[in-house]
Amino acid sequence: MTYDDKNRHDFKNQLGIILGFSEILLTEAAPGDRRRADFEEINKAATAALDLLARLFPVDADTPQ
Amino acid sequence: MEQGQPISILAVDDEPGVLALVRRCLGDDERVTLIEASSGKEALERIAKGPALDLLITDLRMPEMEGDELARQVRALEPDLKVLYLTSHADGLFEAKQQLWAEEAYLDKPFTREGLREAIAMLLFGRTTL
Repeated sequence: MTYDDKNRHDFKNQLGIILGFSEILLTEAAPGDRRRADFEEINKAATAALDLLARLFPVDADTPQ
Repeated sequence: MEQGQPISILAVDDEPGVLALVRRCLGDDERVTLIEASSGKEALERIAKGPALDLLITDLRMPEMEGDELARQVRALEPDLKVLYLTSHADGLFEAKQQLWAEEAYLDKPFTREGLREAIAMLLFGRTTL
């Protein structure tokens, strides 16, 4: 595992934790709960960060996965 | 194994937040006994103490001992154990393993609660609901 691979793995892990918990909070929040908008923002930001990560550290398409 | 039976799961990840997420995903299920370990070595120590497990959930990329090596060693103790690898697309699971065994599956990170529960249900019961 290269240094970049490890950084990508570790960073993606952290984003996955944020996404996983925010998704749980969203599913548990009642429809009228004002915190829903907050959870959605957290979820959107983490999803955007995941997309950014993929652009910053693209996986070599020729590398066997 | 049949639905409704108690389920014993060992989750292994060197990232505490991932273990916390797995715990949160499964914590409200009274059938599930979840054991956690932060390394392959710790996992093997827990397995040696017993009791028997139904499922090993393991990160693929971990320092010292990677998930597929852990699974290989665990299988020497529990040949029928089912294994769910938590992977990232870039982790190169299939570099190390050309194909998964019948009792194995993988779940790409980031995962959702429903995704994790569905993957476990498919492995243990062959259906999508835990």
